[in-house]
Amino acid sequence: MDGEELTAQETALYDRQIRVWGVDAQKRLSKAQILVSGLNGTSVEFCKNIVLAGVGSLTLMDDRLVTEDALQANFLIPRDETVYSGRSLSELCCESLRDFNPMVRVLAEKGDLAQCEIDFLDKFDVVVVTGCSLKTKIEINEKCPCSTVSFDGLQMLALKKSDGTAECHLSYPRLEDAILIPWRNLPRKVSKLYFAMRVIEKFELSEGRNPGELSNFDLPAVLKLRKELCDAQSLNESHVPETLLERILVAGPMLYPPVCPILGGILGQEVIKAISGKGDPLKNFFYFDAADGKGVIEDISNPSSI
Amino acid sequence: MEAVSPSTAVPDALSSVTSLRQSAVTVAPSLFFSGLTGVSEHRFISSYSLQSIMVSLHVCSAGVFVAGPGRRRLLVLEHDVGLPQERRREDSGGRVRVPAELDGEVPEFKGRESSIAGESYAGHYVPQLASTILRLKNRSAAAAAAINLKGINRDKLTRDSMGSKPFTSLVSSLFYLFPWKSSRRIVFASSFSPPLRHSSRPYFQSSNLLLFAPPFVSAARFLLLWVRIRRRRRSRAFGVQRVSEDKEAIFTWLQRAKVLMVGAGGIGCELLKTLALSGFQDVHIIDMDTIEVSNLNRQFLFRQSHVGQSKAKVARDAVLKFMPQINITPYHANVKDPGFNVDFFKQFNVVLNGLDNLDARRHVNRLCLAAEVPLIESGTTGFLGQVTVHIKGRTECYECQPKPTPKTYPVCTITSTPSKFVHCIVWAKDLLFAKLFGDKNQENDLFVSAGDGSDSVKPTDIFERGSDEDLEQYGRKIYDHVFGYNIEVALANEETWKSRRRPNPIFLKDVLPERLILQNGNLEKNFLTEDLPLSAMSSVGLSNPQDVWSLADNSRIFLEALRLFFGRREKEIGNLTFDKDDQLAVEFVTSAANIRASSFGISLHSLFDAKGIAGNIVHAVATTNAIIAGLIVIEAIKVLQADFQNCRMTYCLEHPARKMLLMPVEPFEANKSCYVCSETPLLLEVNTRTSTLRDFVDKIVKNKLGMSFPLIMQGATLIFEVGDDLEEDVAANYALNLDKVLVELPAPVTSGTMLTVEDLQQELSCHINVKHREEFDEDKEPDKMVLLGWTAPEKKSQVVSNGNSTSAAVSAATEATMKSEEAKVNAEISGTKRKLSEILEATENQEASQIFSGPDADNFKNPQELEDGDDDLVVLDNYPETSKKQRLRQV
Repeated sequence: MDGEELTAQETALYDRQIRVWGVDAQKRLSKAQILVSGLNGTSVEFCKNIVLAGVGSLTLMDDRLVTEDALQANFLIPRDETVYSGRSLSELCCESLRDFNPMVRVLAEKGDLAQCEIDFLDKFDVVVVTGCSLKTKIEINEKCPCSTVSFDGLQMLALKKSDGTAECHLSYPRLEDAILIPWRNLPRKVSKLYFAMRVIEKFELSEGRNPGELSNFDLPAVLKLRKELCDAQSLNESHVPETLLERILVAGPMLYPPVCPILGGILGQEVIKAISGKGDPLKNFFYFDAADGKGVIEDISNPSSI
Repeated sequence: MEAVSPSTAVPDALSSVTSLRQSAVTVAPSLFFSGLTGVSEHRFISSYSLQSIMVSLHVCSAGVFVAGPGRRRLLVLEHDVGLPQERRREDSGGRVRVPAELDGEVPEFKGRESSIAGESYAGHYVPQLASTILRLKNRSAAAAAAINLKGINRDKLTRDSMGSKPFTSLVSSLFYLFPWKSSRRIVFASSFSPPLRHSSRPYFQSSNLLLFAPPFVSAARFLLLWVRIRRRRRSRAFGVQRVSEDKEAIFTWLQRAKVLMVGAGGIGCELLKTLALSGFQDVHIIDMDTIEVSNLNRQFLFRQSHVGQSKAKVARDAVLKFMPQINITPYHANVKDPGFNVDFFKQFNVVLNGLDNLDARRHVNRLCLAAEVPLIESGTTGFLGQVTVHIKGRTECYECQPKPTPKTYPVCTITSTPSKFVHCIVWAKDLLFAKLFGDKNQENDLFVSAGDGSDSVKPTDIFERGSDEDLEQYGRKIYDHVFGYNIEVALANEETWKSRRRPNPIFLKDVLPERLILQNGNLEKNFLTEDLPLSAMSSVGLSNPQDVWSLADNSRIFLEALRLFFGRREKEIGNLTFDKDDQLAVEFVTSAANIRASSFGISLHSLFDAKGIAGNIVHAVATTNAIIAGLIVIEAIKVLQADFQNCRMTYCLEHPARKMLLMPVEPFEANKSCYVCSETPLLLEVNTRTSTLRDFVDKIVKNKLGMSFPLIMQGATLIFEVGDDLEEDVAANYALNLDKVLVELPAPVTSGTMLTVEDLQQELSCHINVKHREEFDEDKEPDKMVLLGWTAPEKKSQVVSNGNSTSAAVSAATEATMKSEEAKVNAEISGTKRKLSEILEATENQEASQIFSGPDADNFKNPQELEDGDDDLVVLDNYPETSKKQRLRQV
């Protein structure tokens, strides 16, 4: 049989989705190499979606051991301590994901993404990063461009979420550029979450916190930072409501389980668009707030830097 | 937490019902009194208490039904016992009157031992009726002799007894009137719902069980129990308010919530997982399907090794692996089974739909309305999806917006004048395939093509395969007959082709040289590998289902498939129905449709495309289902917290102008003309002199109103009902009625007649005013009857009237493989939120195709039920009054 054609097995399995995106897109999907660093409720959803869709390979990186926190909203890990036996999250998730679709190679890679060389990242078409600091994200973003030639600017996906609010970032412009845009240059009516996330990021960075390592006690300090940033950017503080910041702080590392499939679903669908070339992925930030139910797309790029 | 634990209550309840049944049948006929929602009980009670009299107080229709043995003598008494709907919560004072039958007017009922039973609103009326009867007895000796009231039968009287006078005081007032001695007891029996008939099902899990007093308890004990239960219910209601303020408590609240999921497919798998991760502890799941290979790309709880097993059960096991501590109760059954009745639904706090067809959605909607359980409805197709919330009294119901019922094709389009590929598919699947491999006795219009009586040859003979007839020969004969001879015959009818392209008859000798046909004669060669499904494609040497085959290839596949069916699957012949997962059947239908298409000058399609059309396959991906499942859970949590103000309908659809990908919209108010959730009568235009009762039942009652177990009354006369417990003579009588034209029915249906149509299982009743009409447009109104009155609300019509944008959006969505892309076009139409909802009334399977039309056209059983390819997608197609309105506006 012609190697370029889908096998009968693939045609049968992917029948319903081929009806959505066509055979050619399916073939491109089956050649794509994906890297996911950081396994939480959302990225696990993403992994499931992308494995079901039939990508070529999926590589997982997360050396953490199973903890109560790591288990929340994670349906890939059985609640059975006997199977853990010192294995990392990536190894455990890898096992379950293989079952989802035997035609996809799922691998677990040890190590820290921040230390990865360009050569390693070069192998991947899409890199999904979560649960690391802004600094790491920006660094990865800097290393990645060469690996993603075919995807027209889609360099990296960074995502982060907390308490039903979430940020999913598709950086057509470099991530660093997109978040350093002077606030007055932003389009009108940018989601308040954009500002809130910048404040929180800045706070985490200055305090040396891990992502999500926050609590209600940080509120005064965060509000102080808000004032500084707003003053510096000449933005009215009402654009970054205290209640919103408070919600993010209170949630800390907690995930609101129903939000994970929503965010993981959108991330999956946008990555599929990017790989398959069928449709443009959204550009370039996505915010979802479970409180009002709005899923908003923000195109945030600095005209001067593009 | 229960006052009566289920384990002890079940035997009690059973024995009480049993004893009551026995007494009813053999000794003491009973008088049953049933409330508004007690209609479903009729069937059960009447079948078990053949000697008994049943009185049903029908609150809305202001009348009393008396059902005699077997219900065939169901008669309506014009007593003003019922109250207008809006007044039913008020104290009806002395308005309840005793039905004449009890008053001695019907001698056969005279003096019978009776009790009064009821449920729901009957909680309000039972005591009143009882006390009226007792007062009457006290006043008149005749009445005392006529009515032998032995007690009241407390079934589920609690629900609406919270009028100005509580049930307790009404009951206690009875004590003064009843001439009971201390030895007498009020008979408090348990439910009359159908537990006995379906004892395998866990009906007794019903929360109503708590409310049942054990049989023969004293009145005082009963009252005590009842008050205790009321109090607990009330405190639970207050609890809702509290938890909404207390984040921690939400989790405990969720754990207590009892959730029913209908459907364990694409949305269902995602939903079950998300519910489990979100902390839900008690989930029941109904799905009748088994797992197919094509499910595995998105229904991630299933594996290759599960193919063929029950979806509901496998989904349960899979989720328990990562969430072992929760309770998931699977039912491998159809949600339309009578067992899943209103009582079953009442036990849940919320119902979540992940269904793939309109029929089941409507059914669940009705049960949720009757049981007053909030419903969260969802659907996806491709990258589009939506979640809607339906709460009785607060939002519209699922059917407030008329849904497109499958469009019907005129028979002649299919049989003689196809103009689209889909017509050829319908012909190949529902006529040819059914004729060759299906039930031979079924009516089949395959040969109408000759038309006008010129059909002199009896074609059935052709399809009989002679005992010594070689398969090769037989195949050639069929081929030449259906693609050659039949077309020639049709061509003879010049009238048909005046304004149409004339088809070319196709004979095998012209398509395939003799030797080629005989070449692949080695039948056995194929079957060395038993594992592989039979495939004509592979034995002919074609492999890519995406390719469009030539006429010659199609012809080879046609012959090969026919041969394989008769050679290898002979046992199934006569019982086969088309199945999209049957490779050989899909190949046969594809090739036959393509040969016919080339005869009629219609472009040919690949197997992949043909399969989509014939199997009515809808695009589905995992990501959209996951997103939708998350949104469902968010709404479900709001509903459970009684946070109704914040409930939203959410569309998953890219809307660039608003920068939205997930778009929440406030739920709409109920449509006042909705026949399902309001009581507005419908209007039927029909030729009462030519249409039969069967036409009415099939085309209107089943197809349009979506009823499964209808009961039709003309005034006080029962003219038809469906049920498996009918007595023979009754059933025979109904069968006779079915073939009568409407004016000739025992109770003639003419212009001005009002019909009452009820579905006992769905607890839905609606009235239809009949209007005689002589002429119908064969193309536009192939049903030859038109149902009016179920119109969309004003705001909707305005949107719909925006004809251009609507069709643009829809055709865009149809043609696009990448739907979200094209949906942008659609989304740019401002103010189209209502329209969006229609477009997005899409579902994972069947329904979407009805909406998106085109190549996904729907067809399951009825050959003429197909969506037309380029039909304007105005949902109201079947409701000409509205269409007229639109046209006017466009002008």
